Amino acid sequence: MVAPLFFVCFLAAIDAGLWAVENGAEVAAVEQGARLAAAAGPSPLGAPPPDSRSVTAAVAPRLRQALFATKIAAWPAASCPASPAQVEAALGARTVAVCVDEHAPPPCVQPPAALASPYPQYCDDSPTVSVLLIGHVASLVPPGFGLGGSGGEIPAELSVTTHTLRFAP
Amino acid sequence: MTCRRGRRAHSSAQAVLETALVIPILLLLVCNFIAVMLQVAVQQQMDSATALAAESRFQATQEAFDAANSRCCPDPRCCAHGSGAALLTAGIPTGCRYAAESFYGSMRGYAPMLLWQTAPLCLSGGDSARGGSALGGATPYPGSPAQSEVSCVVGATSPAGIVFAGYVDRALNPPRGLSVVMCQATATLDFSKTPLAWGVFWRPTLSAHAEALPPPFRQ
Repeated sequence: MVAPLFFVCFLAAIDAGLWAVENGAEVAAVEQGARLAAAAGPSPLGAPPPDSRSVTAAVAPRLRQALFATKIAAWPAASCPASPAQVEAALGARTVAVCVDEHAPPPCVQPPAALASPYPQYCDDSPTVSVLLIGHVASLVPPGFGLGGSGGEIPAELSVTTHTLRFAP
Repeated sequence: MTCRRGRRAHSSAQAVLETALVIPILLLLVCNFIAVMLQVAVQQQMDSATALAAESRFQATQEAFDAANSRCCPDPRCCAHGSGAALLTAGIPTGCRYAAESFYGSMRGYAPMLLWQTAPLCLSGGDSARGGSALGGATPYPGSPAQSEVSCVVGATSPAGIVFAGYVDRALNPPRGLSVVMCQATATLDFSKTPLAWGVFWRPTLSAHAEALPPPFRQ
């Protein structure tokens, strides 16, 4: 009785340690991705806006060091996935996807009489960019553990949002 | 015969007693190990969100102040999981709103477990030499929201030409120091709303502090 329980607890402790290492790498990668995406915003010179492929290529080496037995892919669709299950359905088990989503404010227009410019409100804000890392990472969790994924994986979902870089004086 | 049966019964009773003693201790150890891992993960995310918040201030111009009726998070992704959308930012530097939006947009996932120590969102004039006082003795901007999960000390110039000082960090370029943007957030990690409450009896207070230097063209 004690021996199996000891092994379950031992595996749980190892798994928690691995998860902490993986999560640390994910947080660092998403933060790095957000800085890259924010710095690569659309410019008046026509530079391309941030995309998932370039951000994934930049953060993948850091992620590969920590995410053992997990595939890293750029999310292929235009809109980001809503849940880790959606990533699993599209890209397979034990895969995390990196997705970049930019949100631009409404364009400024001539304000109606008695209203001050800029109009509409927030139109002169810098765009926001979100970098999302979502999917399932490999883990020692047995099937049916109740964490949402199938056996040998646990869901991961991290997101950061920041304003894109603009050379504001 | 009776003696052997008695010895076997004694040994079984001893095994049951040992198991009853070992199981709670093992579970207690595992619960606390997982809690420490969780604490590390939350601290990392707080550090990341606070750093991005401090850097976001520079995406707004030095003279930009929010107009009347402004509030955080016109982009709903920013405050989807926090109380940031309730922050009214009229009359404070736009950079403060950007900082709050970055913080609330990045600090996701652990909301039910965190009890935030709220403070004014936007302040000016702190100095690291006044280490004893909160945020280096910085004072809130007039009209700054008072209940924010993140506090930022930023310098700005109002449309009326009033100059508000940033946070002076004396460790940089001593002894005069450098004016930087400083953001800080503090929260208590509450395990009582998780299954770990069974074996975790401590509530750590986590604090994140980040400073961002102005870009070269602003220095």
